Parts: sequence; structure tokens; C-alpha cells
Amino acid sequence: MSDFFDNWTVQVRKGMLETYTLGTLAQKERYGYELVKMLVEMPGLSVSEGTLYPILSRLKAQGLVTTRLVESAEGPARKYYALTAEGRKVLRLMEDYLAEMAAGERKLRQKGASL
Amino acid sequence: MSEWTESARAELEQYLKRARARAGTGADSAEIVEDLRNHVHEEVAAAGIKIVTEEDVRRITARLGLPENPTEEPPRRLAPQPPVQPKEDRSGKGVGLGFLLFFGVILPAVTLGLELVTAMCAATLFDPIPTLFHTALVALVPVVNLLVWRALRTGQLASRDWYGWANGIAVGIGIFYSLLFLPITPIGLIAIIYLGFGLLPLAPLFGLVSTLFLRARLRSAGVGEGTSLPGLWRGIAIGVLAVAALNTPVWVTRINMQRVIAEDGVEEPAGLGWLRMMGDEETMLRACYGWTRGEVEFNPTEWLLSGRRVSPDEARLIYYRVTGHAFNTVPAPKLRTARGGTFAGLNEWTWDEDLGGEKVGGRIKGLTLHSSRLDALVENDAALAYCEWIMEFKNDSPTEREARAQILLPPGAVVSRLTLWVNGEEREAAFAGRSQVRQAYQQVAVQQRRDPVLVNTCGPDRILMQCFPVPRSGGIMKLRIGMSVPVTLDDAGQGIVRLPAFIERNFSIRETLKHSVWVKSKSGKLVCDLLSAANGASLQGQLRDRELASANSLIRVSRNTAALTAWTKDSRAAEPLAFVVQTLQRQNQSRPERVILALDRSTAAADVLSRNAMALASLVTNSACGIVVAGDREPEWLLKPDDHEGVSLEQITKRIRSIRCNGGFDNVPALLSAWDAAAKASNAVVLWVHGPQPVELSSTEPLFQRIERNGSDTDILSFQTELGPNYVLEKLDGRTHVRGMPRLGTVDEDLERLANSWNPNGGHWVRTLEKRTTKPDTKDSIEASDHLVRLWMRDELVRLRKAHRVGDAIPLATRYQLVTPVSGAVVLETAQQYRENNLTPSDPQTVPTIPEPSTFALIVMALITLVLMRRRTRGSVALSA
Repeated sequence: MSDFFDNWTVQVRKGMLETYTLGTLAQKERYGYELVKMLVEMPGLSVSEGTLYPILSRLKAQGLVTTRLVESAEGPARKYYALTAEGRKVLRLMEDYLAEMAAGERKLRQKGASL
Repeated sequence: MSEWTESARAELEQYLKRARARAGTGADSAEIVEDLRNHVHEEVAAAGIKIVTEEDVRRITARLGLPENPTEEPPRRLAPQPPVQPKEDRSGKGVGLGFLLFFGVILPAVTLGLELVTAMCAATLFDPIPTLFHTALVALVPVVNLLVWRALRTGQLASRDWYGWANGIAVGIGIFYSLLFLPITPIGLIAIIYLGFGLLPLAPLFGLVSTLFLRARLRSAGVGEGTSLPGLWRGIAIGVLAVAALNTPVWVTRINMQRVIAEDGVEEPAGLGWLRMMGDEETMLRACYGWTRGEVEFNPTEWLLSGRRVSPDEARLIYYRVTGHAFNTVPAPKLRTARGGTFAGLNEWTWDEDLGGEKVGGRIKGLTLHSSRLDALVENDAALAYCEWIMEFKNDSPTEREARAQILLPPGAVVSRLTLWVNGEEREAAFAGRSQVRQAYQQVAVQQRRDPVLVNTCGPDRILMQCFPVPRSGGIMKLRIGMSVPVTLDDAGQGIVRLPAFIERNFSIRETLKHSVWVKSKSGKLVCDLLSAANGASLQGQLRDRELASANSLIRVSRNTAALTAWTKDSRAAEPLAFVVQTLQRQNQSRPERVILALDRSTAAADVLSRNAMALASLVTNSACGIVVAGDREPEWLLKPDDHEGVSLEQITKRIRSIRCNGGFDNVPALLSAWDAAAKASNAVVLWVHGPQPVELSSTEPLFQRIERNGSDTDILSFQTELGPNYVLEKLDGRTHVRGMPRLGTVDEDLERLANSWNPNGGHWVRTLEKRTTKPDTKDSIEASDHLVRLWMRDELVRLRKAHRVGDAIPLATRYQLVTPVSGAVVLETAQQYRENNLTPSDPQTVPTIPEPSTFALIVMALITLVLMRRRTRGSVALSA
């Protein structure tokens, strides 16, 4: 039972990583270190920092996020990530899809209960 | 800016190389590597690391993890399973977190809290948390488990490495306590199976298993492949070592106590050395009172200790040899640490293994001296005194208790009265042979558990008092000991009376309790540093227990210098007319031909050997003299007789000062050597300078044999440096060649007094008591009280013992109602008990008494009334004439 649940959470996490990454950038642009820290500390996501940079790189390659370098007095130049218009559109689609899934699941449960 | 070491740079490059290899398709590997590099730099800056080491990089990259390898197998597919009903609480990391919270956090925390409050385990089995440090270590397990559980539940794993280390330490502590509780784990399991409860003894084991499960989850949760969780083995080592370090003094003590008692004796010196160096006094003290059954049967530490178990008697010997003082000079140990609760009563409980025996034994919790009153009447000119000590014992424990004490009598005194209050009435003692009174006491006290009190001698000027039962739960037992006391003369015009004092006791005396002292003189002045004089003829005051035995409480008695003869009628004599006559005269004594100093090396003698080294050395400057010092195995000759020609006083003093005193030592071997050396001369003395000798480390029989068989006139003179028991004097009680030197002042004063007594020109006041058929006819002779007869009989009994006429001595001691080495006193409760034991209680009309102050006033008033009446009668006769 525990194995089943563990396996399921791994799949859900993998599927949701991109959604959460895009979601974190919905309000404003964030620099890489800050973004990664926020995602790592997100309850239930259980992701290591090393895993997130390839995702960001892939999202950038797909044109969903864009980056810019800002010089920092405290160390190396900071890379800021921001959503592109395409990225915003994809994020909205993802959120709609999830909402639809949740509503469908609720309906299904109510239907099962009334039978 | 941070500075990077070469190895740190190399470590980072290694990590980035591994990351590049796992970047996967669709991503820019160079960009990922650069991002990771920047991230590491950000981490370094955020942590404020000045010099970045390889270890720092390893720690940071371990937390970062590596990118997930896209070529990895997707999550394995599970065989079709029946649908799983999700549980209510799914906010955590999966099934089991709830159980881990209960068994890893709540159960250990509740168990620890219960043990702290009730001390259930400490009171019934063994104390798992004897100190605050133990408590803190045990508390670490639920605390660490809670932190890890919370991190897993919330996914906040930023401090994952620290959790790894803390978890490792908790595992180490858990392993230790699981092993400690292993013997009672089956009991807990059986209790759960059959009764449905019994989780508490299993708490350490469940706590350990939960800690391990939490570690497994911590390792897997949100971590990239190939990244391990640090701190398992080293954490376990730290945890186990921390608990072991706390327990090391106890283990070292118990192991070395066994080495000391090993039958072959090979390891005894090494064992003693360890104990003196780092022995745990609390552990030794507990052993003196006997281990609890739980401690013996359920503490695995006990199982691991090979060899014979240390009995309470053996532990008492070890305690003395290590610390240099008797185990019962300090309060009995608590069964558990200072925690209140349901089992608090057990803390106040001690098993009295010495009930009815001849040893004072361990301190009994709850038994105290409730009140103490000393009344004395001094006959200055007759150089006599009578002193009564009334004491009340209170027992607050839930069991009936026996009060026992060794009492130091004034020098040369003899117990002549013993009274017990039974239901408010005074019952006087029966005096009889020593074994007869003890047998009666044991039968009535120990078997019938009724009210007796027993007094016997236990060495020169020492008695053992025991009374039973002091009623439980606040009950009080009251008794009186009366003693006839000779006044020790310093010169013809001044004498000294020392008050009696406790040497050893099994009850406590509260700091606030004071002995109420009242001393009255028949004629002449009394002076005492600690008592206030009402008018020169009486003293009164309150003395603390430690003051009672001090040189400051000595009473100085002024007397008429011409009063050198005193007499009294012996009303108990078989002859119709008999008088006891006392003559005081100054005598010159010759110095012994040979003096052998037998010196104790125990802690209690250290001060005297250091401060009074020159005074001691001056006693043995003669080349025929010698000094022998007690040792752990063999005595050591510091100065051999006939072998130190030309050794100066300063050199002898230096040698005495060089003696290293530490712990307690067996003095009998040194006494044997000293006696053998002394007996070679015709007029010799062994001056034994020593601290208290509370335990019998070796038999005194060889010494007794020498004294009895050799026929030499060698005397053993015991000079005890401080108040305390002395088993050597107890064993040699009544031997005429063994004397305790009266302590009438400070060590300096008493050594000077001794040196003067050996000075042919110094003079020494001697009291001679003899029986006559007529009273002395000198005009200066004074009539004294019956105590003169009692003191004469005391000397007479010594003479009879010396002549091996013990059979004649016992009836005389009984008739004169005295406690001596051949006779004792016992008070029983009923006439039937006296009859059954063939004893006759003293007639209250024949016992000595001290008139109450009110009685004195009544006598004076009666006399005044009589005088006035006579005057009035004469006046009226004159008028009528």
C-alpha cells in the first residue's frame, strides 16, 4: 500500500513540476536561486535543487520562459526568469485542465454516492 | 568574497561533471552546469563561508542533488491491486507517518515524562535517567524524530543534512536504551498480548525502530539518485559514546569494586587505585545499602559485569577504603533522582539489615533524634559527676524502626542507669551479663516486636545503645542513660568534665536540633565556653551536635585544693560495714623505655599528621623508638627502632609530613608490627594515632593473641584524631592493655598532656579508690555520693577481668547496676518478660537521680521554713517563760 502511494506521488510530482515552476513566475520575474529555493520549500513537492535547473532550461528552450542577466554586487550575475506570453497561455491551459479534472472527479464521486 | 581551496574547486568540478552527464535531452547542459555553479556560489555567500573547503562543497552539492536522469526507468508499474481507500490524513508523505509520530515522538515523550514525574522504573527496577544529562539525551530522540517528521510532512528539507546527523545520534541513543530495556521487553510484549497495555517498557525499542524508519524516508524524500544522507554511522557513534560517557564513572566504579573483592586479591591494589582516582561515591554508597532487586535482575549492565556481586558489607569496606570515612556519616542515598510523584514514599524507604545486631549500620530514612536533654550534677570537691542524657527518637517512616547509636562516654565514666518510658511511665533497666541482656533484647525486640532498650559497652568509654520499636508514622520513643563520671584533674584546684556525644548513629539529627544542657555544681565554680553561667555554680545552654563533642564544650570544674580524700558508704556490699575511700595524689611517672608510633594513613588523620608532625616526632627521638605507617597491604616502617642513630627531630618531622593520606587503611597490620617491636622492651607503649576505624578490614585476633599470650606489659594507647567508630577498640573491649586516650582538648593540648604524663618531673594526678571497713578520720575528707562506689566497682571489675575472674565479675556488675565489658542493661516492657528472661529490673529507689531544679528550690524553702519555725518556737518559748 505504501509502495503504491509512493509511486503515485512520484508520478504526480513529475507531472506537476512544470506547472508549479510556471505558476511561481506568474506574478513576477524571479532570479534562479530564489525561484529554486521557493520550489524546494513547497510542501509536498519534495524536489531537489539540482533537478529544477534542467526543467528551467527545457522551459526556456520551449519558449515558455525567458531569462535576463542582472549584475550583482554580492557575487556572480543573477539570471532572472520570466514568463513569456506563450508561457502564460500554457499555464492558463494547465490550470483550466486541472480544474476540469478536479470538477470531473467531484462529479464522479457524487454520482457514485447517489447510486 | 569567499576563498576557495583547490580541493573545493576540484570537488565542485566533479559535481558539475556528473550533473552535465545527467542533463538529459531538451535542455542546455552548459547552461545547467553554469546555473548550478552559480547556485553553489549563492549558497556559499548565503552561509557566510569565508574559506570554502571540499567538505563545504560536498555538503552543499549533496543537498542540491543531481538532475534526474531521463534515461532512468519510469516508476515501476505495479501489479493490479484492489482499490485503495485513501485515509483521512493524506497531507503527509504517505502511510506510516501517523504511526511514526505516535511511536517515534509521542510514546517516547510520554514515557520520559511519566518516568520524570513518577520515577516508576527508578523506584521498582533501575534508574534509566539518573542525571539531567541522561534526561536531555533521552529527550533528544522524540525531539529529533518530531523535527524530521515535520520536515517530511511539510517537505521543508533545507536542513536535511543536519537532520541526518541528528537522526544518527538519536539512533545511537535509541540502540543504547533498547539494549538497557531488553530484559523487560518480553514482559511488555506479554502484557500487551494478554492485558492490552504495557507499551511503556517497549518505548525505547519502538522509538528506535521509528527513528530508523524516519531516516529511510528522509533519505528517499525529494533527493536525487546517488545522494546519501550523512551522519548515520558517525551519528550512532556519537550517540552511543555520549550515553557511555555519562555512565562511565558508574561502570568504572562497579567493575573496580568487583576487582577489589576478588578472592585472589591480585587486582585489589589496582581496583582501589581506580576507585580512589575516579570512583563514583554515589554508586558506592548505594551498594552499601544493597542493590534493589530490579537493579540486580533487570539492569543488563549488571549482567555484563562478570564476577561476584558486591554485598553491602563488602561495599561498606570499599567505601571506607576509598573515601576514608564511614558510609553512615552521610545521609542514605535516594533511590532515585530528585523527582516527586506517586513513588516518592519509596525514596524514604531503606531496608534495615542491622536490626537487633551489634552494628550501628546504615542511616534509616525518617528516623530522627526528636529531642535531647543533658543534665549533670558535679561534686567538685569529690571530683565526681553524674550525668543523665534523655533523648527522644521520632520515626516518620511507615515502618517500625530501631534507633542505634554508639556513644562516647566522658573519660572513665560508667553507665549506672537506663530508663525507658513505656506508655508515659518510667521503667528502669535490669543489669545482667552481657550475653543475657542481649538475648533478652533480641527476643523481645526482634521476635515479639515490643518495647525494649539495650545498652552494652563497645570499647573503652564507648557504649552501644539500641531501642526498638520506634513507632511508625510519627511515633516517639523516649529513654534515659545515666552515667557516673570521674572528674579528670588537671591540677588539685581544677578538673575537666567532658560531655557524652554520639560517635556513630543510624538516625539523623536536623541542623535545627540542639542538645539542651544543664550542669549544676554542688560547691565551686563551673566554666564552659559554650554554656552560659546562671551564677558560678550552674551552666546552661543549647549545643549543636557537632559542638557537643568539641573541645569547646569541656566543663572546667574549680575545686578545693585541700579536698584530696573523699568517702562514701557502700550500701550494696556484702559486708555489714564497708566504705569506699578515694585518694587523689600527684604521682611522677617514668617515660616508657620504648614508644612505637603506629600512624594511620587515612584521610581523617591527614590533618593531624601534617600539623602535629613535630609534636609526634618529639615522642620518638629516642633511638629505641620507631614509627610504622599503615598501608594497603603491608605496613611501612618510617623509622625502625634501634636503627636511627643520628636522625634529627627535623628529619623525623619531615618524614611524618611526607606521608600521603588518601582513603581509608587497615591499621591492624601496622599495630601488629608496632606491638612486636615494642614488646622487645620491658616497658613499652604503642601510641596509635588514627582516624575513625568504622569497618573491620582484618581480624584483630592476632593482636588479641599477642596481648593475651605474650605476657608483656606493652600497652596500646589509642589516640583518635576525630570522633568516630573504632572497631579495633570494640573488638578489644575490656582488654586491660588497650586504652583509649581521653580527648580533653585540641590535638596539640592532648599530645602535650601525654608528653607531660611521661615527664618524670611533670607529675600526674592519680585517683585511687579502695574499700575499707572504716571511714577516713582526716579532717579534710568529705562525704561523697554513691557514684564513688560505682566508680570503685568499675575499677574492681577491671581488676577481676585482668585476673581472668569473669565469673566473679558478672554478679558484682549486676549487683552494683553497671554497664561494663562483662555486663549490660536492658529495659523490657512487662514483668513477665523479665521473668521469662531471668532478669530483675532495678528498684527505682536504688537508681541514681539528679534532683530537678524545682526540687532544689523546694528543699531550700523547706529548710528556710524549718529554721523560721524553730526560731518562732524558741521565741514563743522565751515569751512564755
